[in-house]
Parts: sequence; structure tokens; C-alpha cells
Amino acid sequence: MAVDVFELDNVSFAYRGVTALHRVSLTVPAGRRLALLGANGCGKSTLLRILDGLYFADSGTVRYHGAALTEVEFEHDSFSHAFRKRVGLVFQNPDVQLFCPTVFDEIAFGPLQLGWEKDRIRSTVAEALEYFEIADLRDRAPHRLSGGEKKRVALASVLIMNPEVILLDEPTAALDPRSQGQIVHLMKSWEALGKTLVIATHDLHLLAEIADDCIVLDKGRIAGRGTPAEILADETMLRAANLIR
Amino acid sequence: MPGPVMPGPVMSEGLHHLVHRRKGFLDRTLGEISHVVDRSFSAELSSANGGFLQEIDARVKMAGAGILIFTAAAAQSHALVIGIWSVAVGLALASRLQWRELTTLWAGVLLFSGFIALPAIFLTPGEPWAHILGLTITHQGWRTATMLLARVLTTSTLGSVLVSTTPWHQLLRAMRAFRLPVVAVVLIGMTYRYIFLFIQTTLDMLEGRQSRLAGALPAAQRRTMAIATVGVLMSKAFELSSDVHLAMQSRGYRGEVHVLDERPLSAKEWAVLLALALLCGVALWR
Repeated sequence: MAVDVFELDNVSFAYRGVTALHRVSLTVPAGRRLALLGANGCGKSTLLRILDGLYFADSGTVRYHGAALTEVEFEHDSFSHAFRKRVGLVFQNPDVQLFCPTVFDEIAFGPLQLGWEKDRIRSTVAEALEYFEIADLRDRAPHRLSGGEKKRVALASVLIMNPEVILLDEPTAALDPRSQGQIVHLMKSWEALGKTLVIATHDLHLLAEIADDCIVLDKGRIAGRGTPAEILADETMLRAANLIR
Repeated sequence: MPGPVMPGPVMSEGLHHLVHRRKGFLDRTLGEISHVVDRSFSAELSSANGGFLQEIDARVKMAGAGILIFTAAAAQSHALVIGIWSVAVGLALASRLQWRELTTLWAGVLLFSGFIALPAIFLTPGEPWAHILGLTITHQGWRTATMLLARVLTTSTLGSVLVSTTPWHQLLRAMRAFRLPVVAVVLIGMTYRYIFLFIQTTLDMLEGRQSRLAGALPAAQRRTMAIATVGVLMSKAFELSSDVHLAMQSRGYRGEVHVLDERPLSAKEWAVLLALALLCGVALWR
């Protein structure tokens, strides 16, 4: 039986009094691909940030491999270092994630903060540039890139650290079909590497390709869970969650 | 190695027309901002040209420009300052910079510095040299004013040549090499990067607003809309800065930025810099 990477028990979170998540309980088994479905503002991004230890639950518990994710834990360098190495989050808006002067600097940022050897960083960044087919963008400023290129750089900047868990916030949103296809191809290739994926999306047509399990969120609450086939068959629930018309 | 392929300017042609057609203060300001963006774009293009200075390490260029600027500022002879200016022009041309770019720079510099220097021609006490409209120009006044103009012209040319032949990220790296604190360099880099994002956001908002307007608005309503735009931008800026901080944290940032070290300067590069410093020292001493 697969070990649970994340366990959430009755997690609630509010932004200045506005509820974003209400008593959410779920587990993320290792090596599985979990899709978080829901309309805009349903709490998907908040949940991903909680899983990444960027936000902390107002109530309830969040555990990563059995260890509670709390602000106190993240104050310890050893815990923070180990967690950041193993869990990576790709933000929905690449402009948030791409803050360095060049693509090379962007991809090298994470490994530098985690204290990798400089030579190892140079060689691994070169490999990442090749893997994501962005070697020609090496010295370009991120703000001059197209949407698809930005997305690939953002993915490379997280994947270079070879995390065991990859959290993806709307990875295919606002991309042209070709770029979307490239990102889906990459996500499928990580399955063979045994990565655990948590993907926030409302692209139902990609569900069968990118997920093993799904959770539907509606106004911060879990409205349904199941395999992609089960979820797609439940039109009443999808309609109630504003995922279909 | 060919330079990077650059996409088109940040603003579309249509948006240029949109910005230029408007008459309000905010719109004029945005028009000026768009020019800054385009200038930055053309600077990126010229820094990717395969000219003489483009092939030289940014740290050597920055140190060399610093030495020449110091020499021009400390020089007491017109000949030396003009000599340095000639070197700067020669370097600009060898680096395939456009004459138009240089002459535009010089026109602005001469205009503004001229206003500052003009009174010195008449007010500096000394030996009379010429009379115009009942005012006396002194030798000392003439010398002071022309020296000021020559210095400003030379130093601005050197600065412009440096910036136009060096990609922005290399300038940042060169700053780090000269022991500017890493935090300061990272802040400058991020500021530069996000200014462009906000310019684009502002222009998008303006375009969205314009597309829903049927005619000209009264001045009071334009002012209200301008204030609302500023408010929305402020709110977006706060949200973005918070998200950027989270994105940094997510990739291991713990309050201290770590950066890759540059390769050390080669013996040849050190020799060039020392020779330049020595030459300038001798020129100043004589």
C-alpha cells in the first residue's frame, strides 16, 4: 500500500475573515497524481499553498510524511531545507515565479538557496535547459518570453531540484494548444519517475491524461472525489461546482 | 555567437497610437513610459550586436568606464577631456552604436547643462574676453562653462556606451563583482523586471478602459479614473510582491540570497585595466 505523502484533517483557512477552505480532509498517496478541480475562487490555489507550507491552516492539521506542517517547524533550517528540496510548487502566474534577470539565473535560484555545489548547479541547469527545450533562452530576460516559454522556465526552475512531490497550479491555463500539449507530455513523463503530483485545474478534457484521482472543491469544501471517469460521469456534481454549464 | 533573438517591442503599434492620441496628463506620462520601454528594448538589441565592446567582459567595461569618468571629472585641461570624449565616440562607433542615438544624447546634455553653465560665462570674475549685449564674458568664465559642458558630454557618452553595449543582467553581475551588496543588486534586478510588468499592466488597463469609452470624458471624471487606476495598480503591486515572496520561499529562500560566483578576471583583463589606469594617471599628473 502506498505511503501517504500528505494527510489533511479538517483543515480550514480564511483570508481576513473570508473562508477559502472549510474542514477539508484528504490524503495524497505517494506516486499518485491527484487533480484538484473547481471553479475560480474555490480554494484550489490556497490548498496548494498550504501543502507547500506557504500558508498555515487556521484549524485542523496538515502532515507531510507524518510530520505536522506548522510555522514552528519551518523555522528550523533543517526541516525547511529538507521540505523545500522534496516539495516544489509551480505557481499559476509565471510572472510571480520568474523574478531573476535571466532564464539561467531563474533556474539556478532554487539550487543556490539550497546550498548545492556551484559546479553541480552549472551542469544541472544546463541539463534542465536541454530537457525543457529552452537552451536557446538561457540568457534571455524572463519578461520577454512568450506564455508557453515562461511556463516551461517556471517548471524547469522547480523541477531542477528533483522534488518527489510537484504541486502545479493551473499548469495548462492560458496556453496555446501546442504549449499545452508540451506541458501535458512533461506531466505524463513524470509518472514513470514515480513523482507525486497534485494538479489544480479546471481543464476537464485533460483529466484522464493527467490524473489518477480527483477531488472537486466548491466554495472551499470538498464536493466530490473519485477517479477521472467517476468524476466526469457525475454531471450534477460538476454543474453544482460550476465546472460545466 | 549570434545574439539572442528578441521579440517585438513590448507595446504594439496600435497601443502606441492610442497613447499618442490622448491628451490627458496620465496618458502623456504613459506615452513617455512607453518610450522608456522602447529605448530599453533598443538598448538590449544593441547590446546583442557583435561590436567591439560587446565582446568585452562587463566588469572590465564597467571598471574602464569608471576610470575614464574619474579622469574626465578630475582633468584640468580641455584637451584631455576632449581626448577622452573622442575615445568614447570611437568606442561607440566600433561597437556599432547609431549616430542618431549619440546625437540625441548630446543634444539633451548640451541643452540642460548649457542652462546651468550659461550664467558662469558672465558671472565668473576674471579677465574680459568679449562683450555681448552689454555683458562681459571673461576668460575664466568661458573656460569654466566649456569645461563643465565637456565633462558632462564625456561622462554621459561613456555611461551611454557602457549601458548600450552591455546586457542588463551582465551589468548587474558586474555590480556584484565590485562588492555592491548582493541584496542591493537583487533588488535592482527585481525592480527593473517588475517595472516592465506593471507598465504592461497599466497599458492593458488603459486599453481596456479606452475600448469601453464612447467619447471624451470631462476632466473631473478623467482625474477620478486616473486615481482609481493608481489605486488598482497599488493593490496589484502589493498582491504581486506578496506572491513573489512566497515563490521565493517555495524555492528555498530564507532571507539571504545566494548567487553564483563569476569567473575571476584573467591576467590579460587585469593588465588592460592597469594600463588604462596608469595612462589616465600620467595624463592627469602632466
